[in-house]
Amino acid sequence: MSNHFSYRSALSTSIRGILARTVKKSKPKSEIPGSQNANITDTRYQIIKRILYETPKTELPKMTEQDLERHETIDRAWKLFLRNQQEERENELAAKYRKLNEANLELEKLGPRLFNSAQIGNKIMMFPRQMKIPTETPPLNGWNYDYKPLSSDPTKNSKPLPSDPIKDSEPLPSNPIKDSEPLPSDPNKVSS
Amino acid sequence: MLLQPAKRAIPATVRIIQFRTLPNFFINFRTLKIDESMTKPLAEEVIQSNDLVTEKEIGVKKYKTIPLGINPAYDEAIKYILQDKANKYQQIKQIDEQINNFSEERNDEIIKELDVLQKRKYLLQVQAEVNDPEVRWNFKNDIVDMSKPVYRHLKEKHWKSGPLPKLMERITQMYVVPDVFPDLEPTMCLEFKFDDEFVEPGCFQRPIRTINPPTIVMNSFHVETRLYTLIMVDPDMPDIENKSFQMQWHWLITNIPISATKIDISGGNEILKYVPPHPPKGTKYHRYTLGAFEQSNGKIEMSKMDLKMNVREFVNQHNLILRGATFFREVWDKDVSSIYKNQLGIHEPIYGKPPKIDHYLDETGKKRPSKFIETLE
Repeated sequence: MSNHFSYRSALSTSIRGILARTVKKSKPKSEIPGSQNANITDTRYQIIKRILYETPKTELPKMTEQDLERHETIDRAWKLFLRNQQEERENELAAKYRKLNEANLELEKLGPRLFNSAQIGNKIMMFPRQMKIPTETPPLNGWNYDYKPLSSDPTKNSKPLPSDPIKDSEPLPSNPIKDSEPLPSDPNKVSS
Repeated sequence: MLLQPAKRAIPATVRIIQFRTLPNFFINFRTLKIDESMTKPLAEEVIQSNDLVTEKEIGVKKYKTIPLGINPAYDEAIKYILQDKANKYQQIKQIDEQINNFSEERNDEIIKELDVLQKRKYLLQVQAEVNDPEVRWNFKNDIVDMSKPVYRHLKEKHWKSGPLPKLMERITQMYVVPDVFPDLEPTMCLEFKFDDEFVEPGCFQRPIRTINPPTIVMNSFHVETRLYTLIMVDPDMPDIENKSFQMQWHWLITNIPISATKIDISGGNEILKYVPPHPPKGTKYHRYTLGAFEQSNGKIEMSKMDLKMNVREFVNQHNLILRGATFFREVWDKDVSSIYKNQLGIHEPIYGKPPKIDHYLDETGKKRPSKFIETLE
């Protein structure tokens, strides 16, 4: 009936604010995380502290001079290997870019129409045919451990691509990977 | 802040190398999977190789190759490193052929291309040898052959990471750069020894120790021989007339042939004989600065030196390029008096502050009555 919000209280709003601030509302000790009286069932902080302060220090094994030299040599050889790999990749990319550049320059000489359409590129998003589509179950034929990528030798005739199941209505051969030679592009990877 | 004089100065190169290996040890070790064979030196190892017992020839240490067949990872590592070395030498051979194919003429373009090829060749030469454990052991133990590009590269790299920043810090802190030289970008490691001990730059020296000239070591990193000039200068001599400081020359040698393999200062023309440092009493410490300049105009012909000339004027006159610098400090000692008497033969000046005039006292020293004190400016 009577609207409880319509009556005026004995204390004004400002005084009520001051009173509220002077009365310090402190959390009970069991609610403050990390304290010793904290909720015993929540052991997260205890676990963290134990891991930080109470696990024994792993001692580094003592190495003689010869051991150290061996270690350094192995380390350097590994890093050198990675560096060489990286350099190979970079050189490949650089060569590809150069060839692309040269091809474009040649194309420019041929005429404006082809060149301009090449520069514009495809606005339509297209996916490579060999790309792996996410499936619910793994493939029936398993992982092909003996897969080898196509060699860069253009004279060697490449095997025909596996039939496109969407285009042809024929069913796929029973074991296309085991029976035939390695595929030209890796079916196990998302091709870039 | 006074730097303590190096009491038992270990050669800077060796001391710093000892620490270089440790960080490597701690950073990489966590990723390494430790095989049992690597933690304990096997008993078979000790018996198989008489290499653990380093047979030192008297005074000369030599690298002992680690035997194969014990650690398979090490064997593979060595195999890979040697394979890479062979590849690199193959590439160097190709570059050499390319260089030979160049025509004899030398216009700007060809010089540029040759420069690029030379740099690439140097890089390959370094890369071929830098992973070799023998080379690394040699460098660690200060057995360095500066005619080989690897050692030059390793030494330069080590200098730039350790001693050089320290030198630059001390030079800038002590204001050697604006006072003596306008700018310093060192490409050469200039070091000096007193009594056969290397001195860290900026350290205080006792005057008796510096009566005889120091042994100078000029570690440059270029193969060809270039001519250098060495100077020693004291910028902190008091100049009473101008109420400032003046520069005093202590040493001047020109036309010193220096290369990566030749590091001493023989073969030069000593124009000013070495004057031992003599900081007078009453002055603050003096910075005795050594500078190594490359002579860009070839040989310098001079018989006498005008001692009133500034360092900057001298440098401009002969088109010198500052390549290396270092300094040490000294302060008055009782031995300086004997230097003045014996070596220099001049009257020893003693400097002090001018007497303070107290305007509240009259000529006799009694307090002047206040009504007679003029307003002081």
